[in-house]
Amino acid sequence: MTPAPVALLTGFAPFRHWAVNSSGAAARMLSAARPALAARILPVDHREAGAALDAALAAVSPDIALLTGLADEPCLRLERAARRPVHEGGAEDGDAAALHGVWPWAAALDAIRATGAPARLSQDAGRYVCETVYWRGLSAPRRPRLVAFLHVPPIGPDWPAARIAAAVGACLDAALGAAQNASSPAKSIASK
Amino acid sequence: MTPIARAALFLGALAVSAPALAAGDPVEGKTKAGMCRICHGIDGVARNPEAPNIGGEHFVYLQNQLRNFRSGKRTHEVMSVIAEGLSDEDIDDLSAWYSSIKFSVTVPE
Repeated sequence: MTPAPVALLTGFAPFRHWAVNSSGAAARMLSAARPALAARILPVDHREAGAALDAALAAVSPDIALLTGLADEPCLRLERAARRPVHEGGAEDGDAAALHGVWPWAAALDAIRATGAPARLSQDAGRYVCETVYWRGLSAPRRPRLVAFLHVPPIGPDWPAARIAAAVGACLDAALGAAQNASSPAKSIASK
Repeated sequence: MTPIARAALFLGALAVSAPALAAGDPVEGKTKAGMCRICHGIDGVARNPEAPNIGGEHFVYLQNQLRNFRSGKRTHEVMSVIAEGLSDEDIDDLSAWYSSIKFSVTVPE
C-alpha cells in the first residue's frame, strides 16, 4: 500500500494592521484538526520567511506544500506562478524569470467552491513576501512534488477563520487526492 | 506557368510550411509537461476525471488548442491561464511530446 503523502501547510504571522493573519489562523486550525499535517507560521519578512520555509522543507520533507498568505480580496486566489524576487538580483541568461506551481488547479478550485467560498486562478502572486516565499518553495533543491500558493481573504464578518480553514483544507485535500492518483501506474500507454 | 513549374511551386510551398506544422522538441516537451502532469499525466493519460487524455493526440490539434487557449479563441478557467504564459516554442514542444506518445485501443466486443 502506498504511504499517504506528507503535506506541509504554511501561513504568515500578523503584520501591519492585521492583528490576526487569516493565513496563519487557518494553518493553526487545520494543524489542530489534522495531527498528520505539518504546519508552520512564517514571519512577514523576505529573508526570514525564505529561511523559515527552507527549514520547514528540510525538517518535514513534504510531498505536498501549500503555502498561504493574506490578500485583501473577498475570494481565495490560487496562484499559478512566482516571479523571481527582485532582491535575488539579476538572473543569468537561461535562468527562469518565473517558476510555475504544480497543483491540480481545476480540482482545487472545485473543492474550494464546494465549501461555499469563491475562488479563482491567478498569474500574479503580488510581488510581496508571498511571492518571495512561493519562489523559494518552487526553487527549493528538494522541491515537493506539488507546490502552490493560496491567497486567502482577511478574517471578517463574512470570513470567519473556520470558513477560511475549510477552504484551505479543501484545496489541500484536492492535492492529496491528486498525489495519490499520480503515483498510480498508467494504463495501457507507452511513450516512444 | 507550365505544369512542372506549378508542381515545383507547390512542393516549395510545402517545404516552407511543413516545419511550422511539425516543429517542437519532444524531449524539451516532456520536461515542460511537468506543469501538465497533475491533470493530463506525463504520459497523456488524464489523472483528473474532468481533464482529457491527450497522449497520442495529433500534433496540429494540440498546437491549435493551446494557441486557441492563449489567444482567447477557446476558453477554460484553468487552461486559459496556463496557456497565457506559454511561448510558441513551449506550445510546439508540449505538442511534440504528447503527440509522440503511442497508444493502443481495445474496442469492446
